[in-house]
Amino acid sequence: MKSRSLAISLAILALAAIAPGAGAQQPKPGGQIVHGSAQEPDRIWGPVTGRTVSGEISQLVNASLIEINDKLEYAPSLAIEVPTLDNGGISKDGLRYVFKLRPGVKWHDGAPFTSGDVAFTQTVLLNPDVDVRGRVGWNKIARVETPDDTTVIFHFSAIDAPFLDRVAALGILPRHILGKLSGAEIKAHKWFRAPVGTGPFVFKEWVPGSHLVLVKNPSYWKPGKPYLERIIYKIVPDANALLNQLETGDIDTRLRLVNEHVDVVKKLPNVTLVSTPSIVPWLLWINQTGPPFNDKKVRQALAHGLDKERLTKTILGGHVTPAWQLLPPVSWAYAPTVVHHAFDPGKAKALLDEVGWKLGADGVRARDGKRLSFEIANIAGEQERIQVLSFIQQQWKQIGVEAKIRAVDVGQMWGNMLPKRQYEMAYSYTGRLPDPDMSTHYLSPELKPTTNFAGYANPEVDRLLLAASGTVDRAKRKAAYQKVQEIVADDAVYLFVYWLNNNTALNKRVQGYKPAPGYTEFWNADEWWVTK
Amino acid sequence: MRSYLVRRLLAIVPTLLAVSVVIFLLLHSAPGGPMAVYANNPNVDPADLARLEASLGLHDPYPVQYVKWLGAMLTGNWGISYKYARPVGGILGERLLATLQLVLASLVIASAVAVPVGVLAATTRPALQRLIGSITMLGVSVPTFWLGIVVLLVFSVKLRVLPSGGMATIGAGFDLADRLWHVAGPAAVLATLEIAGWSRYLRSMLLEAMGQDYIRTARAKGLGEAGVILRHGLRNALLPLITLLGLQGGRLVGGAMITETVFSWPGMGRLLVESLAARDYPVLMASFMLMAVLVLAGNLLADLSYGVADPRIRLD
Repeated sequence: MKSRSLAISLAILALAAIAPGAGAQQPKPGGQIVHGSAQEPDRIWGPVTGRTVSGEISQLVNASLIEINDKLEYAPSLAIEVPTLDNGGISKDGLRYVFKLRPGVKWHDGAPFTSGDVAFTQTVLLNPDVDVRGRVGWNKIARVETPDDTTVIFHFSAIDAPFLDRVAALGILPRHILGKLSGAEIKAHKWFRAPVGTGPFVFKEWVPGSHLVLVKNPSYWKPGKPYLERIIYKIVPDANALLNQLETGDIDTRLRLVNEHVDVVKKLPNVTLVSTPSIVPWLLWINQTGPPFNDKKVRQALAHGLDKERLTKTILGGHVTPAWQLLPPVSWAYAPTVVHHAFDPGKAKALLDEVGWKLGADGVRARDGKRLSFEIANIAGEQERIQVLSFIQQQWKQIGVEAKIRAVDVGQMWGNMLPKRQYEMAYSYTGRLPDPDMSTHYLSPELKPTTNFAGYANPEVDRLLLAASGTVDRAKRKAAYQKVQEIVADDAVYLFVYWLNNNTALNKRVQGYKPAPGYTEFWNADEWWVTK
Repeated sequence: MRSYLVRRLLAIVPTLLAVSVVIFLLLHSAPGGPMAVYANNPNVDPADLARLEASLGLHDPYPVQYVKWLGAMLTGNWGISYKYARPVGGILGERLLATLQLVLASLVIASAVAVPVGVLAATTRPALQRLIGSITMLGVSVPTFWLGIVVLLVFSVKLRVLPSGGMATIGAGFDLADRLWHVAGPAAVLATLEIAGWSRYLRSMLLEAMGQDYIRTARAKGLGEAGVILRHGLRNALLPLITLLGLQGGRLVGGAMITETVFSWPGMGRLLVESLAARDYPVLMASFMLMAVLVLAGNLLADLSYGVADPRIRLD
């Protein structure tokens, strides 16, 4: 008995020694942090907003059945375990998901949390009078069953492989507050501005244009958590002002710093900077529905003509890493062996010569009297984007390709040019879910993918993607996605540039932060604490 | 006077209608639309976008949308914000109050500084006049956003004598001293342009007034130079400033947007910028109409006060 407790003590000591920044420091309850955000939430429930900031507040106030942790894995939250094929939570045919709910959880107003709340939330998602942004996936649910207060069973009419991603992003709605209302009444209800949730923090106030205040939930289901007494979510619209406030200590935390501010923040004595690659790539969208980009060799040549290593080391200050494919290295379906069309201007020139784009007297290649010249659409306003594109422009000039940068606004880019494929090339990042499904970007246009702005169509890729999203067997999905990654990398469908970094700045008094690649930085905010 | 007022008020109606049509067309013909930002969201498919647009009435022809908007506006219904799903009136109310405080504070500072500077610039020694002229020229030329950043860097980050932004200390409750402390920086920045502009204006008006016959008369009466300048010169030179003040109406809504952004001031200007980015048509239409009303009202008030201030002007 004695030796066992000694062994445990030793193990704890060893753990304490290797835990970063731990040592003598024990989490200390109390205190507050002020979080600085350039954007303000609109409505505090993910499905009716789509804005990252709204999702963040929602995550703090309004818990989900499961969550996504710092390793892109699912972890239990309001559900006591994550359903899998192995534990029987997901049926063999993938059409039934069973969630066992945590008993004894209370809403912030004291009402009990039950399976009825979960079932009700699903009806709101599909209510035609509520302006839920996207219903992708939820519309495949045939019915929801609640045999008792702590069991929810989702029955599907078709397999929805990324379903758990959606569950992790969905805050549960309180049936006892919204349950008896019509869709129109729910849409206008003040709950979406002053939510009552089950999460670690209780919504207290929102002063528009200024700040939101969240306070500790004293009856949170994790005993002793959260440590923080209060989180003030402060709206500071100007990026320079945010930097100033980090320096003065007026704000403690700040997410998603732009790369040009990284070096500034690193020099601040009172601030720690944590940089981790996200799952979101920056890329050049290439419209391949017509010449010259319908020729795969032209796309490959452009890829060979771009030195991503140098771009990320110089222009982007070495803060980011080059991207070669849609799936990030942290994804379970990542294929490490796909072809990289690495920097090789000689090869680029040879490829262009091969398909008839010959160098003209003006230094630009031409074929049948048409010059190899095109526009790259770019959302105006960020210096870094212009620097990146100018670099690319200069490099392509060396291989006889003329790229012109065209400034557009957000509405023009996302409302017209990309969805209607009225562009030649465009620069942006692309939204991603943690699940590796790539149908959005690579399914043929007639299958109505959401973001195949390239107009790429490949029957083999369609077959693999549909097979992968038609099963919940992870091994089968992984094999299919790896094959897809190889094909689309060879086809050079998009020209990936670099991985967007999650640059988080933290005042040194803030402890316990763990970066999360899936845009869920507040996932462990109940474990954050402050030294003073 | 009364018939003048009635005529002016009646003229406002067609002006506002014309303004509303122009703004409506400009907003709706800008590419994208309120749902465009969701095109990059993997959870939202094109069918969802079409459904949302239809639910906002965006699939109606423009004339139908406009008439619906006008009808609602006339019955006092300013619409529901697309972004916040709240009535527009409430949103504007909160923001207008914040901007009002900022603009009033800046007007107080501007008036208090511009008048003495203008008088000095017109009446002091030529060398000093030139110096004041250069300084005010600098004040007109310096970009507001730059001045704002510098003020923050110096007074907030380095000297730590001013707050780093916002309208009040969070969680402190209402405290006049705290409010004044917060408004000082942005109001001073906002006032800089007015001080520079007004004082230059005032100087030239004062120089002109000082050459008039009545000034000679005043001097001939044996009045002291200070009395001549202040009682006879300045009172006449101040008249054009009434017009300048009247034009401030529009600034109440939109003019302070840069200062508001730099100083995190929760006012109308920021709301306007954010609503433009989100293509939040109901908020934008209401804000621009409010701006138009304030400009027109400011002009009318300026004209009316001319009649009161200058006995030579009779409105009829």
